[in-house]
Amino acid sequence: MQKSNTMSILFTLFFTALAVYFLIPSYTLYKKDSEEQRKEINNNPDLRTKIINLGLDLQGGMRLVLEVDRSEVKKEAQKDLLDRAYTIIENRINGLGLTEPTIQKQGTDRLIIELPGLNDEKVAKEVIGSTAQLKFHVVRDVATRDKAILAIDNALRGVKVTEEVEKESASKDIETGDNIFTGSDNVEETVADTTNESSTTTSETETVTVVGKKITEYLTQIGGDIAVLEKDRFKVDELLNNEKVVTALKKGFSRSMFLWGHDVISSKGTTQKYRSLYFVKEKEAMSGENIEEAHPDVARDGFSAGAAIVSLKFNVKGARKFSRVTAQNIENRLAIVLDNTVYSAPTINEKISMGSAQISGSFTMDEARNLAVVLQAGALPAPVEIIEERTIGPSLGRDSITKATYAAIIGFGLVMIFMAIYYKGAGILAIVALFMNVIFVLAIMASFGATLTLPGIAGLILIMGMSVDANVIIFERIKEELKLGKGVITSIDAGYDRAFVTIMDANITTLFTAIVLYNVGSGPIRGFAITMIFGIMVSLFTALTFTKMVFHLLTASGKVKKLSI
Amino acid sequence: MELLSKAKFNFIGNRKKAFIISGIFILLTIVSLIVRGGPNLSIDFSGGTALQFKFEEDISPKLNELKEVLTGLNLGTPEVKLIGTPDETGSEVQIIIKKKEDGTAVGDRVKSAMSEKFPELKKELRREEKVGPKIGKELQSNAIWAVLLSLLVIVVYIGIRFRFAYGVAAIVALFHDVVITIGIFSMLNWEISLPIVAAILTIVGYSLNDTIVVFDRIRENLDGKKGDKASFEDQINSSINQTLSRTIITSLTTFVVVATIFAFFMNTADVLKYFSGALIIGIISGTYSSIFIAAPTLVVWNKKWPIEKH
Repeated sequence: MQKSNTMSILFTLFFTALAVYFLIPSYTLYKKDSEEQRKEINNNPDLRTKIINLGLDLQGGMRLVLEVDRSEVKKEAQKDLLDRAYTIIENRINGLGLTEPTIQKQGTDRLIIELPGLNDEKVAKEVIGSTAQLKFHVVRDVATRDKAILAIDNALRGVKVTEEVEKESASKDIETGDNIFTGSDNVEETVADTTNESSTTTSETETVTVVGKKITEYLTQIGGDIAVLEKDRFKVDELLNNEKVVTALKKGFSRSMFLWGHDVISSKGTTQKYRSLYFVKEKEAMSGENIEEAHPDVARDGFSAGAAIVSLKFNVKGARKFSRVTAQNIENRLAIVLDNTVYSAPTINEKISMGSAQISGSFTMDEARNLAVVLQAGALPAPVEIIEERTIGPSLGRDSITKATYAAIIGFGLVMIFMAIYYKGAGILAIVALFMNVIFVLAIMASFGATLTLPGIAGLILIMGMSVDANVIIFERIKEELKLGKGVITSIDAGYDRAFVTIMDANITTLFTAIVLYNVGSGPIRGFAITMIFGIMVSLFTALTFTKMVFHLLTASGKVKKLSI
Repeated sequence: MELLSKAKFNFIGNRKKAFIISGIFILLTIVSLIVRGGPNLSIDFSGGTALQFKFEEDISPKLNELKEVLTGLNLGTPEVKLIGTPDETGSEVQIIIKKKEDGTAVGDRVKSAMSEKFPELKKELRREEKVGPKIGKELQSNAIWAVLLSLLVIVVYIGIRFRFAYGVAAIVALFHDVVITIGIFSMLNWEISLPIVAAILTIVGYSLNDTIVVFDRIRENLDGKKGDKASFEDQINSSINQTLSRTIITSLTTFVVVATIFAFFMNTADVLKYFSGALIIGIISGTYSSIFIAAPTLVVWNKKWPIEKH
């Protein structure tokens, strides 16, 4: 009896020490501040399998589920569509230089991407989600463009359009319309006028039905291009998509189309924001599939020296094509179009045979870098749609951790007090077992590199409450046996024996639901299921073996006549 | 210390009253669901976009204006809510737009509209979630499957470990708990989201613990020497009374812990608020149903189909 007791004690101490050992990497990591943490994990990717990882809801970050749109993909390309998309997106993510991104395939059509610690969700979505189809289109000359616009206005005659008009400035709109195409000087004044008129921000609007609304009312000129006020963009889009307009354009200008510019620009002296509208040849002169390399750079000459640009280099085939295209289009403008948006449209002054080109625009260096990443990784074989997106800001994550930690400490404290008062000595034993449970669960999670989420913390707290239950059942049973007059050691054994069945049944059913949850859930719910599964197993173990061992230890000598329970 | 160890309540005798009380609650649930047009599904299930911002100032006077601006974007009817109470650190607002069709970049349009119309407001994005309609439907069916599967597994397990009758009694009690939880959520107009379904599944598993404690004692008593002498009702009654302290205390310890979580997250719109709220409802309901629903169901069943010994 003595020997097995010593063995038990040694085993317990050993396992506890082992648990603490497993927790050391996590402890040392999370003691550092977040910058150092990031560096540490970047340098040492294996570390993730040895620590308790924090879920996105705790450290902040973004989770995206992308679905590939197979509808327009040719049959031959269908098979490895997801794999190709996976590789390209992986390259893009790596190019963004984020810490610990993860990307996984799901089913046949989906990719799950997790970006912890992300700061700019808009950029991430753009970089990841854009199809990145690069094309070069020749821009139509001004005369053709203006004819097209006239045709649109003619088509709109007699078309009813409802719109919100500001009561006072309705007349001002028409004045602006009259003044377009008369040269840049006039435009500056008229634009300035409208700014003055609409300085009252809370003007009343009314819905009116206008017949024969002209698209020219929304158009102004900035530089050599047509521009539309940012807020009018959707209206102009509507007009351009109006069926009468589409028919008219198809009739006279079937091989051309309108494309929006990417940059938001402003005219000299105003704060109004505009977007350019280009009229280009529908069929692209060449595509971006022959780009060998793309990197961000700084413009060295020309009037935008010092601005951020993206420098492209074509492969041999591409260089030849580019040489041909530029030779055939001297004096024309070539629009550089990414995903149907025009980034810039420089004029071609001479044939370019060196196989390199520059994309300039009003980018920041960061934007140039992101664009280069996307172009370098290549176009996606099919468009992807973001069907689910969850972004948690880091401050929310931190607040949640703080609150949950307090809740855990206080909840734990209350249970401790109750157990000590109600079950006295045995209660304190239960509390020790509780401590061990928590350490063991965390250690198991660390050894698997499991992820702790906010519901996971709730799960841990729940387990603390539940593990006490097992002890309560055993203790109540022991009390009953004692009341029947049985001796101390017999009562203890009988208590554990009879309670064993009950505890197993109760915990197994909870375990079942946790397993179902693990399979059906994702992200934070999975984190919850994992902590529940580990927690239940650990608390079962400690309740049935550890506490029993301690009881035996204390009563083995046979001298104890009364249990503190 | 002893609590309730000498309890001798007549649970079974009063079962009709218990059934009526439960019946009323369930009726209230149905009424609430009808009045509100179904459960309040979060974007997890209905699809849509949710954003949560923290502003550096108290924005409550401007809430209506904000709502108008967002309604004007024609993206669907926005729900604009203040979270918690504004204090010296500012105020927090939640914007939810539920859509049946997929909108293009609803989140981006909301953000740019806010920057444009309220440029002076300094804000921080705390959370943004978008769920496409397809995924919403998938998550819905996954959730329903998960609950049904769990209930099935449980009936089978209890049926094997005890008798089929016990399985049925357990399911009746669990069903009662799930319905009551959904009902109270509906009455409070709280959203049912994925974590809430997880909470419901947890309740299903946990509520069973109490029920099993009682069943276990019932089985022990029925099989024991005294089994033949006393009537079935009396056996059940004494079983419940004998395990009362166990049942109450285990529920109490878990309740305390979960209530603490709720207390800390009460003033937020975080997952844990509703999650712990659901658990609180579940624990209370689960304890009640173990005593007043599961065991009495056995009595009712036994009247028609006597339960054999094990």
